[in-house]
Amino acid sequence: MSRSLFQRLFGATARDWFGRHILLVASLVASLVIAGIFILLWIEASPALFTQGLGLLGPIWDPNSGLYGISVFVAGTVWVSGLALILAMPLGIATAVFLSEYCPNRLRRPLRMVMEFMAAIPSIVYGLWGLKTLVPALRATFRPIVGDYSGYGVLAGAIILAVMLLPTIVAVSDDAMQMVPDSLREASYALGASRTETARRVVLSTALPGIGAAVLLSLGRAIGETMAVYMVTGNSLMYPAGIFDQSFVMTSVITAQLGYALSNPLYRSALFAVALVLLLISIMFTILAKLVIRWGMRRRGLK
Amino acid sequence: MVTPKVEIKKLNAWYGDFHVLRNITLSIMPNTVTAVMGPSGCGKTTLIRTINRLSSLVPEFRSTGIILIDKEDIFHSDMDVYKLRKEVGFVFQKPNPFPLSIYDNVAYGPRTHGIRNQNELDEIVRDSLQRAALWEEVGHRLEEPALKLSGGQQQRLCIARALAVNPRILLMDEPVSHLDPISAQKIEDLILTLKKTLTVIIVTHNVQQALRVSDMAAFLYLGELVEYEKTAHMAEAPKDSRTEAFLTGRFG
Amino acid sequence: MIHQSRWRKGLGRLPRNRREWFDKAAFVLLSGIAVLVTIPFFVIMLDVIVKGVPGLSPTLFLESISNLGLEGGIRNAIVGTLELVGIASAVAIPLSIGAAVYTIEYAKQGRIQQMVAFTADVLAGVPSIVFGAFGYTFFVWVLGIGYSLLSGALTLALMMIPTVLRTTQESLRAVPVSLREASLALGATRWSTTWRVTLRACFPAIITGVLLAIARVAGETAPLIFTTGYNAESPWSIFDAVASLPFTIWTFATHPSPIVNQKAYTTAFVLITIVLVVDIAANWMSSKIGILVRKK
Repeated sequence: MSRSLFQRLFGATARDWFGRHILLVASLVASLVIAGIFILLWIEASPALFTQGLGLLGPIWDPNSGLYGISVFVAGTVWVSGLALILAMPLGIATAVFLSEYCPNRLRRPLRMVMEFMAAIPSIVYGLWGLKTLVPALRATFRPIVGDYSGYGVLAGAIILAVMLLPTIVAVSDDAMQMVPDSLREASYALGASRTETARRVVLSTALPGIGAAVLLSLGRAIGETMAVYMVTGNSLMYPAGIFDQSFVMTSVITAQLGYALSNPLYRSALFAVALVLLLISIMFTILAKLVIRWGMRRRGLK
Repeated sequence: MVTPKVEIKKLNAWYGDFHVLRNITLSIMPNTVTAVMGPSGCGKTTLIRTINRLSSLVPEFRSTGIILIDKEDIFHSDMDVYKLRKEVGFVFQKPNPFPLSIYDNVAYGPRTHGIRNQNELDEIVRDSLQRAALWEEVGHRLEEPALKLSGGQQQRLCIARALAVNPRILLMDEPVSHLDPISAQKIEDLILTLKKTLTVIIVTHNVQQALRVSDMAAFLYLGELVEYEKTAHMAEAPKDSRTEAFLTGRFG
Repeated sequence: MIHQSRWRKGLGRLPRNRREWFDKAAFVLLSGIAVLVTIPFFVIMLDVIVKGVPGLSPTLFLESISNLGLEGGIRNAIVGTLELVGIASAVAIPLSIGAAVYTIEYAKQGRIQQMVAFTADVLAGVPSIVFGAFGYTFFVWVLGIGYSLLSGALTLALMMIPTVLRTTQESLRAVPVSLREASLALGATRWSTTWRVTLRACFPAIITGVLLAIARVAGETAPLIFTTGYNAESPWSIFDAVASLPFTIWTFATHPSPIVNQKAYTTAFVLITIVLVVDIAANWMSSKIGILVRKK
């Protein structure tokens, strides 16, 4: 049975063949985007990388004098994200334990709903609230104690960021604890353990890799968060020495200065070097989170 | 006259509206093995889960009647449930070791009940694993994850874990139904040894197994206790036609 | 189930020993923390509603921003956000679904599936300002599209890919093999089986993923700052600059005039409403699927 040319080109089998190859291209899209972002940032950042070299790690950022040390932004990011995580981690894990182990069923769904809504609120809205409500409130509270305090700075950034991270930590940790089979809880109860002992020694310890991944993912997100932090941290070029100091984080410097830097190639390139560092950090945290899960599972003999 | 270890009087139990146990009265003597038999869904698992009040963990569960363990009412409001469960161990149908090391699995119970001394714990772990006939296989690799063990070893580990808190009674819910015949054999032998030091109540729907390991047999049908007899007597001459039907394999 | 019951039974009476006291204390402490954690949500919502709702008026929706927000409404920003999200979806959805279909239906080797899933996860973790910087260089300059609706939309599209791709992959994986085999056994090609049988079966799950992705990018600001430019009116073509709700909130919030600041809240109220409605729709959809799955 011979087939006409038309059939060979447009028949069902041909459609199958073409479809397969179009889809193959589509499947590469995520990888292409990551590769594209990396290559472009690399190209843009390379003038700064090659002319400044280790100078990029230097302590002073002064584009007017050609000094592009990004340490000050790294310090800002470490302070703000670190404090945010210190605030959010215990609260988030405790909430997840409550949701998974103590919460009556009727309350569970609404609580998860609220967590999801918190995750859905755009970061610009968190920023607006931080700028207009949180910063003035912090100023009014702490000014009498600290003296010259504007309300902007590490503390404001960390609080906003902690609120934004909580839904991720809670949801991912709760999921991890829900995966712990009930048979293990029963085994613990049958040995005379109380609910709290069971939650701590069986559920938390079994779900630990998942919770670790939740913390790592949220830390990655904290470092990459842009608008809300930008609006409340004051953005002055200084190394924070305490939670009441202002800070300038890596995402903020790009947001604030890329517009001005367009005409100065080296300045612009240095900002892209910051973006490149951010990209690498985010990739690293994603990989770390996956490794923690795999390592934890293997250690427990689950896989 | 020996006093019974467990006395169940007029026990009724419900899950929601479902009447699982109907008016059960039963006395179990110390250092015996009692087999609880019956077709699936007859309430045998619920019965033993009620003896250490595991069934109270299910919100819809409620019960009437009395269970006395060494003359103590387990439903009394002064009863310390944690102590009760320490006294009355439980081995589940499917092996369910914690995803911890072998050592930590066995030490879980003693630690829960306040034993912190390392030497004492080592002693308990070794003793329990020996009693569960597992020491020779795992004694040299206590730090390995428990989940790396075979199914039969895992189940014996669960028995060791239950023995580690030194219970007076051991409840077993079809402990070998998920295991291969050789592992099952090992656990049956183990039950016969354990009988010397504690009282065992074992749920099974395998008649041959009941004959091999048990002194007394209780036959449950649709939540009722149909017959409670010496196992050998019941197997030879069942009094009730339903028991006979079960023993000859006419219920699944 | 089991672990959520004892609390109710024990609620009525006093603890009788040390461990019961401990349990009760843990319950009180943890529930207190859980309440504490939800408080910011209600505080922020209340703030936005109290300060934003009074500003709602027909003008807001009918007129565009004029005089940097001192006059006019926010029509151009609303329309701009809808256009940005619409074009981004039109680009991202077919690409992501295509990618998911290929990896699950054609590339049987686990390695390709894993690699695509992994890169999608990496992409999901990339900071939004990095997307912004990339969009600025690639779309605005390298491709020469300029500050425009298209540049902004394409940047957002990149951010939608991971969510849609991953949910589609998961849902395709959940379709039973027997369903596909039934179609293939009737002589259908893999291509038509995929479109007529498999994708239809996981349609609701894909919609859920799409809605979640839309809710996420509709509120993004950072990727738009260096890609969309600013337009006091609605764009005439995809190569024109465009305004958006998040960007507008930003400019209004940092404006010296309190009147404009107040408008930032109204704009935030509009944006939150859109985002939460989409999010609730996604939730509703996924709970529907949950019920369907349980019935089977």
